Amino acid sequence: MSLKKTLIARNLSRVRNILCIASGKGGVGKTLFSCASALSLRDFGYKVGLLDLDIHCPSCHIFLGVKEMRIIEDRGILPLEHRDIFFFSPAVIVGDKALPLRGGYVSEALQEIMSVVRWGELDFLVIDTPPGTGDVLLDIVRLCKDPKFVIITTPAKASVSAAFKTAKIVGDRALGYVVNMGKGPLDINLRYLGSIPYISGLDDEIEIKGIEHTAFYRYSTAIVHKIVETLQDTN
Amino acid sequence: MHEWLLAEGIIEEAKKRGWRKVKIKLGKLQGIDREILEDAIKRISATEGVDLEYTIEEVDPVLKCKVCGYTWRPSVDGSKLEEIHFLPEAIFCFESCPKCSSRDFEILQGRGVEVEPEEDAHSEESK
Repeated sequence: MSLKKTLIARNLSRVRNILCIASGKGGVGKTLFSCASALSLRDFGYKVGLLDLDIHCPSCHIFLGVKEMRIIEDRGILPLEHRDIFFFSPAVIVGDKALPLRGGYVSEALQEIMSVVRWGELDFLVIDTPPGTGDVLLDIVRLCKDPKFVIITTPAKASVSAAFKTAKIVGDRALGYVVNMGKGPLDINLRYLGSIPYISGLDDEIEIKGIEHTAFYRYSTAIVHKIVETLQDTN
Repeated sequence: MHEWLLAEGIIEEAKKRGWRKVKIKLGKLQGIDREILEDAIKRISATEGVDLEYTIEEVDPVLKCKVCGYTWRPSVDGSKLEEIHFLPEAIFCFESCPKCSSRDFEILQGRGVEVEPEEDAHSEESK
């Protein structure tokens, strides 16, 4: 473990901000918001990495339309360059094969990926986390230096309840929350960062035009702007 | 090469902890090239002026089925090697129990790379 911890610290040593997109529930839009956040930060002029840590079902590459997934070796693995962001996902290694891992192995896989991928200098590393409050969330808190979390939820009660639990676990590392498929703030004791309304036909629109040309992206960009301001206030 | 990254990590870890002699356990599942690793340690040590003694123990992988309890030594062929080299858990994509076909198994030994002090007399931790 200590060897991996040393390697992880090396690989993240020149990353200025680690921004994790999290929620307790699945299907609330974490992955899409993660991709949109990385692209928005790129548009703001930052050097950005996007790491998909949904070990069981990585899907950022699908939203981003990454066609060529190959391992680039250079004293470890280099992230792929796609649309002017740096990108890595477990899918780069295992493709679309099912990865039936129990909890402990999820943690091992996460540490292995983080210890082998060399990010270089980045202003932001956006991490798409899987649903739940288990190994991945706990490992990020344990292994990354000063990670910040954006909690994403829908207005559904179950989702809000899960968001609340996630916020409890990450504590003051939570920058605030985003409401997806809803309007206005909810009863969550965190900084409200903004909302994205339900957008009909979004999947098709992404497929045809790409994320950057959707209404989702316009809303996300405004929220990411607020996230950057909040980060500057807290630093 | 992955081996160079590991060598850098091993040397940094040893320096950080004040270890002069270490044991490196190489899980064979990960297919680390011992010759390249040793060459990388030698070259990085020379560049950084580090005098690190080490021994290497290679550990055969052993898997155990969580359904029927059968244990076996997997053979990892070339087509799977790159995935497993970088992510040992990729073995779960390929392997299943030879007895009951379950993909629910555990890795008993031989997974990855570990480094530990072989003597504590000069370790910072023992001071």
